[in-house]
Amino acid sequence: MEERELTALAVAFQRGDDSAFERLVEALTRPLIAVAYRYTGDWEWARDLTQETWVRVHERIRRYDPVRSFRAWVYTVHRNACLSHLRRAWVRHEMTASDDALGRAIEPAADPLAELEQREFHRRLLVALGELSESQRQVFVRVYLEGDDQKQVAQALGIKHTTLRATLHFARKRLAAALGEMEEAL
Amino acid sequence: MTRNPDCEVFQDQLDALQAGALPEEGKEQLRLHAESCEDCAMLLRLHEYLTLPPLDDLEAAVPDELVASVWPRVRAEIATGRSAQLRESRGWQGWGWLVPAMAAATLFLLIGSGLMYQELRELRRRETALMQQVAEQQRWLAELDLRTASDPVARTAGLAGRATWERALARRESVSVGELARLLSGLPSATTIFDASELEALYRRVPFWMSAALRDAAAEVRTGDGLQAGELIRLLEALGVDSTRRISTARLLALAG
Repeated sequence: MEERELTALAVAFQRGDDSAFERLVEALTRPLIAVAYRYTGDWEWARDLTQETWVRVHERIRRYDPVRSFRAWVYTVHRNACLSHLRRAWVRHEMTASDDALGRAIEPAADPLAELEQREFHRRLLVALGELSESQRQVFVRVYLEGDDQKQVAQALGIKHTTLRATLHFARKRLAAALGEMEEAL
Repeated sequence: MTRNPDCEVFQDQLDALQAGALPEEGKEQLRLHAESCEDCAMLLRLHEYLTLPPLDDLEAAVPDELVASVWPRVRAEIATGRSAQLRESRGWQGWGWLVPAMAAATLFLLIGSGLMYQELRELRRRETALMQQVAEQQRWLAELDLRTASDPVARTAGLAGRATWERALARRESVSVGELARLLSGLPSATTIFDASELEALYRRVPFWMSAALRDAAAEVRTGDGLQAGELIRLLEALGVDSTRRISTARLLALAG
């Protein structure tokens, strides 16, 4: 759906048209679940976080400024929901989902050993994300988990592209180091 | 992590890969370096894990039933939230009368306490006035007691003046000089006891050897033609008459004319 159409629906919803809200949910739910999956590696969690995002959008729609991109606004709400979820998990140190959830999280691979390894890598990655600074995590999740363009992210955050690249560079190194330590600990 | 220059080149190539700007030749160099460097291999693995599959492919892989389940769940959660809000607002609606009732009660109390305060002030003002009157009466009664003591003649004279005093004297055969002084002190001091002619008659009726002394003493205390109660008291004191000496009331009344 075009950005202009999304904005028109958002404005209609702001004026009380609930059917416009339903159309927005239909239009953006799939990409939001995909992004949430990047954060969680779990379809169930991804669905729950997307649901949470839409409830937040419903509650806060009056705060949306139609001058801005509605998609970008929803993605910001979604990112906050996903990061809140991760923070709660980091606090609890419970990054492992249930076996059923993990079974859905990773597409069945031809090699069961490779599938198991992939699940474990994802779990460690989510733990390692907790090691990043707030600014590193912010840049990292937008570029890697949400697939945003680096220059657009730099512009949105009000930093130079070179600064963003440097931040990303150190974030990757820190994550790689944390993942390496986890492997050595085994 | 090593500080191999190749690692720095690897980082740049990884950024270019992330930005989709790395040619095939660069990708091959990247893989070759990763095979020889454990740290960079981890970075490459991380990159591949995070970027593969691409977000578009991942979006296509989202199960349809998962997407379809979101809207009913969102709608149900919003409805639950609304009904909770509605219950809450209804709960308060039930108590909607409470605010105006409390306001009215407060206003009533304020006005009532204001009126009561005014009433209290008025009562206190009246009480003060009454207390002053009582104090005045008590002072007057005390003065009367002091003046009249237990002598019924003096009490009567003090209350009624010369005519009653004369009637009181008439009921007794004699009166002492002290009683006479107390009787006179119960009268207003300006009460005329003897006018000028009566005073002249008094001078003539006393023995001649007393007449001059009496005239002189009277002249000392008199302020007018006659002799007033206060002046008569001072006259008795000036003459130094014994207070126990009794005087016939008939004679006294005859002296007064």
